[in-house]
Amino acid sequence: MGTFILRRLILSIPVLLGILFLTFALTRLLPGDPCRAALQEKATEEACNAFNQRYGLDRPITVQFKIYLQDFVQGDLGTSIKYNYSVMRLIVERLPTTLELSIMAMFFAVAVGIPLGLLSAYYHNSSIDIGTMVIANIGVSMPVFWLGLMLAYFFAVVLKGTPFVLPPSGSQSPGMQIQPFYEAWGLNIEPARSSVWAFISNMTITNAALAGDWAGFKDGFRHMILPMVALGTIPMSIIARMTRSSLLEVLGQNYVKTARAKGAYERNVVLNHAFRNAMLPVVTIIGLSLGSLLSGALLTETIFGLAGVGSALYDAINGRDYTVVQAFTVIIAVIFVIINLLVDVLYVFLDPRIRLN
Amino acid sequence: MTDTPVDLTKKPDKPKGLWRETFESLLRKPSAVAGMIILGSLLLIAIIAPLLATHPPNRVLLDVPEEGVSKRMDPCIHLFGCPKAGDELLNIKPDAAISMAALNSTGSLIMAVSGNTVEVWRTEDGSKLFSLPHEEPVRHAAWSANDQRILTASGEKLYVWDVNTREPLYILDHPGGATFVAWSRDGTRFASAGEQDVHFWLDCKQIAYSIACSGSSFGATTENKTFVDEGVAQLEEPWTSIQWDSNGTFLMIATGNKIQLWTSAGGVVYASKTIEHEAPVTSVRYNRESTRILSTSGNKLHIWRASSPYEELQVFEYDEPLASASWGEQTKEGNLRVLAMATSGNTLLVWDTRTGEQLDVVSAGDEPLRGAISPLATRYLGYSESTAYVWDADTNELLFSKDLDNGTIQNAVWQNTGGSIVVTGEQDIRVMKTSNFQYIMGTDGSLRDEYSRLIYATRVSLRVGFTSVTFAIILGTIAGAIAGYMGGWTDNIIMRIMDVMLAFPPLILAIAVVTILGPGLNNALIAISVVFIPAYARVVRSGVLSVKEQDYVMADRALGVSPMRILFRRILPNVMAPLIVQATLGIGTAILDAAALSFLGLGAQPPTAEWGYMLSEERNQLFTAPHLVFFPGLAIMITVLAFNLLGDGLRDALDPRLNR
Amino acid sequence: MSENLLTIQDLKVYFDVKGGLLKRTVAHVKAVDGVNLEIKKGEILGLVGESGCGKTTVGRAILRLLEPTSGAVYFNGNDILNLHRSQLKPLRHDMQIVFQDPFSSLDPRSRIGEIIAEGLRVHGVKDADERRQRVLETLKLVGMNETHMRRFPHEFSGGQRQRIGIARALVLNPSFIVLDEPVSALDVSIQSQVLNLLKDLQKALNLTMLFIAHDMSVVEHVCDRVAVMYLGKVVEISSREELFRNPQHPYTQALMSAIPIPNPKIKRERIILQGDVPSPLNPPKACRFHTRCREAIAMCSEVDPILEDLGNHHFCSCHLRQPTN
Repeated sequence: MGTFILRRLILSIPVLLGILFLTFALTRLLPGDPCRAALQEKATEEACNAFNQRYGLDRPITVQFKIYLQDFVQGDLGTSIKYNYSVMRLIVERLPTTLELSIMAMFFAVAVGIPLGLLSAYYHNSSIDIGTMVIANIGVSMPVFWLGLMLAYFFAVVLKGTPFVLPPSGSQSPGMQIQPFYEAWGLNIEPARSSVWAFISNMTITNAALAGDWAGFKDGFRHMILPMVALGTIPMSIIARMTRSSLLEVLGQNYVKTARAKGAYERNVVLNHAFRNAMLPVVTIIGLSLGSLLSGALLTETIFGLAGVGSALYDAINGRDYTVVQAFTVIIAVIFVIINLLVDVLYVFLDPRIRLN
Repeated sequence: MTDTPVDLTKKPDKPKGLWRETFESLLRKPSAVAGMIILGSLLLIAIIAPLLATHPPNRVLLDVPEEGVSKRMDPCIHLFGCPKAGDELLNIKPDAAISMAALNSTGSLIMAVSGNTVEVWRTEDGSKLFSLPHEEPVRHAAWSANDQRILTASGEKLYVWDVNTREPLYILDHPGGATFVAWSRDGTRFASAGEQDVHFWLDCKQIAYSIACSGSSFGATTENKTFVDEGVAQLEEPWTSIQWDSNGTFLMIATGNKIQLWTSAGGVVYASKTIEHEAPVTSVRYNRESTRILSTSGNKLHIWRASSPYEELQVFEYDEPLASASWGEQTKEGNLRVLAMATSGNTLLVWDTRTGEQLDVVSAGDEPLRGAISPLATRYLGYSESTAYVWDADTNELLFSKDLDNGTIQNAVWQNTGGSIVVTGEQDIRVMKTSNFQYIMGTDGSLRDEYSRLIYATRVSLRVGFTSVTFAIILGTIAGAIAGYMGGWTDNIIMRIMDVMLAFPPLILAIAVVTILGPGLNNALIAISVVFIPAYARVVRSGVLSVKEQDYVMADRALGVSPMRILFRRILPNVMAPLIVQATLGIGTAILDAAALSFLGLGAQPPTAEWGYMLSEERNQLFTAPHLVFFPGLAIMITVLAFNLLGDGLRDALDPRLNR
Repeated sequence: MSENLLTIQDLKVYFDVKGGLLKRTVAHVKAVDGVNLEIKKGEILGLVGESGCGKTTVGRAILRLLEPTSGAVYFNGNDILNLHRSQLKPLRHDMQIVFQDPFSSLDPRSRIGEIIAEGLRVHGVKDADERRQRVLETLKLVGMNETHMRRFPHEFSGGQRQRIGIARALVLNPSFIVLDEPVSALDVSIQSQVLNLLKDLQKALNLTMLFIAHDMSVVEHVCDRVAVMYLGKVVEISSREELFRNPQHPYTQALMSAIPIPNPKIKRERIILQGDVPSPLNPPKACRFHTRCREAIAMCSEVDPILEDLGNHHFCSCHLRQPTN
C-alpha cells in the first residue's frame, strides 16, 4: 500500500508540472503582449521594458519557465496590478472564508444527500423515491448563482417578518464585533497577517465558537446558511443519486439476497449489509465534488458578498486583473490535485480490494 | 383491397435496429420521455423564436411607457389573460354625473369632479380613496405638480386641498368664479381663469422674497398668508385654451386671433408677447420643453418659436379648418422625430415638424374628432362625442374604437406615461389599454422585452451547448482513438496532457482560457470545448481499449481488414453509446458553464440575449424585480434538466447492451 | 501422409509484465515457450491443455493476431512471421479462425450478412450481388438460410452464432482454419451439432484445421492427431487412436482419466492432479510438470526433457518414457 501511495504521489508530480506549464503557456505563448495585457493603459515602452526585465520576458522561454517555477515554489505568485498587493497575501486573507464555506457546504451535502439516497433506495419506486430523484435531478441542473439569488430572495424578502428570515449577504450583521479568539483567550499576541492565528480568526464562525461568543456564532451561522445551501445543493444531489444507485446495485448482489433469505429484517439488510459496501463510490463522488465546490464557491461568494477566494477571483476577472486570475487558477488546480490525491489515498484505506493489488 | 387476417405469430421481416430498440426503451422511461419532450420543445422554440417573440431581442423599447413602467416590476403573464387594446383597465362610476377628470403625474390616482364633490380613486384597483366635499358645484380641479395638493374651483371660491389630510389648506376668492384652474409645473403658482379674467396666484411659502408676498393687502383669506393673488390678466375676448410653460414663467392663453404669453414680475401681471393669427386660434400647445408653440387657426397649423424672436417656424395648410393641436416626440433607432397633429372634422392629420412632410391622415366615423398624439408618438388618439379611436402611429391601423353607450365623451387624454387613455364620460371614467403588445415578463433594466430575450436566448444556449460539445467530441474522439488504438508512448503523452487538463476544475480552466482569449461568447464556447476534450478522450480511449480486445475485432484482423476500417467500422460505432451518453450530459454541463461564464461577464457580451448574462445584468434588481432573475435561471435549469434526464435515460437504455 | 501445410518451429510468445514505481518490464509471462508442431494437409490437429497453457496463444500467433517473440511458422512454405504486415493480406485468404465465445466474436452492431461479407469486401469482391450470393452459399453450408442475413447477432442462439462465426471464416474459402475452442461455450446438446458440422465441412471442403480444446472428449470426437500442451510447451503428440489407447505422458494420463465413461459399471482410477497450475510468470524449472507429477523423480527437476518419438509417430517429452527401441 505504501508503494501505491508513493506511486500516486510520484504520478502527481508530472501533473503538477503540467498544470504549471499550461498556465505558464497560457500567459506567455499565446499571441498578445503579456506586458500590455498586464499593464494595459499604463503600458509605455519604458514600463514594458522594466516589466519584461522584472519577469524575465526578454530571456528564452525555457529560462522563463524556470523562473516561473522558482517563483511558484517560493510562494511568489505575482502581484495584483489593481491593488498592488501580493497575490499570496490575498489568498491567505481570503482562504479562511472559502474554507469554512466549503466545509459547511460539503457537510450539508453529505448530511442531506446520503439520507435522501438511502430513503430513495429503501423505498425504491415509491413516491418517496420519485420525489427524491426529482429533487436531485433538479438540484444538479440548477445554476449555482441562480439558486443563490433565489434563496436570498425567498429568505430575505418573502419570509420577511417570519422567524425564518435569513440575511442575504455578508458574513456577519453590521455592528457585530467578534473578538479574535486569541484575545478572548487572553493571549497577548499580535499575530502577523499570515500567521495561523490570523488565519483561524478569519473564519468567522470558527472564531466565534473558539471565542465563546454565542451571539456572534449564531449570527455568523445564520449568515452562512444560505451560501451553504446554495453551494451544497449540487453535491448534495449528486451524492443522493450516487447513494441511491450504488445502494440499489449492492442490494441486487447475491450476498444481500443471502442475508434476506436468512430472514434478516429489510432495514437490517439495507443498513448493515448493503450500506457500507455501497458507500465506496459515494466517497469517490464526494472527493470529486470537492473540486467542483471550488468553482461553485466562486459564484456563491460573489452572490452572497462573502470575502472569500472566489469573490476575490470574481473581482479580479471584472477588474481585468489577469495576474491574479492566473495565479488563482494555478492555486485552485493545485488544491484540486491535492484533494484528488487525498481521496485516492483514503480510498485505499476504505477498499481492501485495492490494497491487495 | 381485401382484409386479410394479421398473423400475430409472424415475426416482423425487418428486425429492429439497435437504435430503434434504444429509442423504445427510452420511451418506457418517464423521466427520459419528459427530457425528450422538453428538449423537443426547446428546439422548436429556438427554431421558431421569431414567431414566438413579441419583439426583437435587442430592441430598446423606448415606447415602454405605452405599457406602463410598472411592467418591469409586475409583469402580466399572458396565460392568465392580459388586457388587450381597448380593454378597460378600470371603470370608475361616481355617484353623480362627472364633469371632468384628471390623473395625477404618476398616473396612480385619478380625480373625478362630480357635482359638489371631487372624488379621488386609485387607478391600480379602482377603489375610491377619498372625496372632497364642497358647498357648491365644482367647476374645475387640478393636481399640484407634486401631487400633494388638489386645487378646486367651486362657486366663487378656490380651494387648495391637502391630499394627505383631505382638508382644505386654503380657501381663496376668485370674484365671478373660475371655470379653469391650472398649477404651474414648477409648483410655485397657479392660475384660475374666469370668463375673460385670469388670476395669478403665488405660493409665498416657496417664493418668500417676491414683492407680491411682502405686500399685506392681497388675497389670501387664511391667517398665514400663503397664496397671494399676484394680479389679473384681463382678456379682450374669451379664452379658448390655457397652458403653463414648463418652468412656470409664462401662461399661454389663446384668445380670439391671438396667443398671449402672460407673466408676472414684481407683483405685476402683463402680457409679455402676443402672437397674432389671421383667424381665431382654436387650440394651442407648448411642446415638452416649452421651446415651441403649436397652434391651430383656420386652415393652418403653425409652429412658433417659444422664445424671442417668436417667429413662425413652420406652417402647414389643410383644406378644412383645423383644431386640437398636439405634439408627439418619437425616438426610433436613435432619431428624434417631432410630430405635430391637428384634427379636422373626422380626420386626424400628422406632420413631421423637421421635414415639413405630411405623414399620416387617418379618419373615422362621421362626427368631428378631437385628438392627441401619445407622449412618445406611438399612437394617435381621436374621440368624438360618442366614440374613442386609437390608431397605431407606425401602421396607421385602427387599433380599436370604443363606443360610450351611456352619455357623451367629455374628454379623452393620454395617461402621462402613455400606457392607456383615460376617457371621461358623463357617468363613468374609463381607463383603456391601447396596445395588444404585452411585455409578458416585463422589461429588463435596459427597457428590452424580457420574454422575447428569453425566447431568443434559447438559440444562443442550445447553439453554445451543441457547438462546444461537438468540437469537444471531435477533438476528444480523435485524441482518445489515437491514444487507445496506438497505445504505447503516444497513448502516454496524450493521456498525460488530458490528465493535466482534468486537474483543473472545469469552470476555472474555462475562466483562465477566456481571460487569455478575451471575453466573448465565441471565446467562451472555445474555452468550454477545450475543457471538455479530456472527458471525451477518456471515454473514447477506454471504449477503444475494451472493444479492441473483443473477438470480433480479432476476427476482422484475421480477415485482413485494415486498421483504419476496423477503427471506423467496428471500434468507433461500438464506442458511440457511452460517447452519446457523455455528450448528452455534456451539453447540459456546457450550457451551465456558458451561463456561469456569462454571469461572470466573460461570456455573452451586451446586448446578446443569453440567459446567464440576462440574469447577471439584473441581479441587483433581485429584490425589486425578482422575475428578471427568476425566468432566465429557470430557463437554464429546464434546459439542463432536459439534457440530464435524456442522458440518464440513454445511459440506462444503452448499458445492458454494452454488458452483453 | 501428405506434405505439411503448416509447420511451427520453436514458437515463443512472451508477454511483458510491468511493475514497480516506474512501470518497467520486470518479468515475462512465457505463454508459449518453444512449441513445434506440424499440421498436414487435410488433417484436424487437436491442441489440448488446461486453460492458461498457451494453446489459444499458439492459435493466434499462427495467424499473426499476436506478435510472437521468436520462432517460425511456415504456411505452404512461406515463413509467416517474417512477412511484413502488408504482405499478410493474401495469406488471410487461406487462413481463418473461429473464436471460442460466440457472443463476443460478432459485432453487435452489424447484420449477419454484413459480418460475413466483410471478408469478401476486404478481399476485393466489389460486386454487391456477388458478395450476397457467396454469403448466401456459405450460410447454407453451415445450415442457415437467407432470412438470417438481415438480423443482428443478439437475435440468435449460441449455436447459431457459432455457425455464423464458422461461416465468416469459410466465406473466403480458406484451406486452413484455427478453431479456438469452438464448442466450449455451447451447451452439450449443441456441441455435437457443431462438431458434426465441422467434420462434415472438413470432409466436403478438404480443410485443414487446428482444433484447440480443453475437453478430451471433444477432441476424441473430431481430431485426427492430438497435441497436449502444458504451461507453454507441447508434452505429447500422437494420432488420436494411439493417444487415447495408450497415453504416455503422466499429464495426458491425468487428462484422460477425467473423461467420463458412458458406462457406469466401469470403474476407473481417477488421477487427481495435486496443486494448482504453476504461474507461467515463474514456471517450474526443467520439466514443468514435475511439481504436480506423481511419478516425478529427481531428474525431472534438473533436466528439461525433450519431445522424443516413442515410435509410431507418438511423441512424448518425459524422462520416464523412453523410446522403445
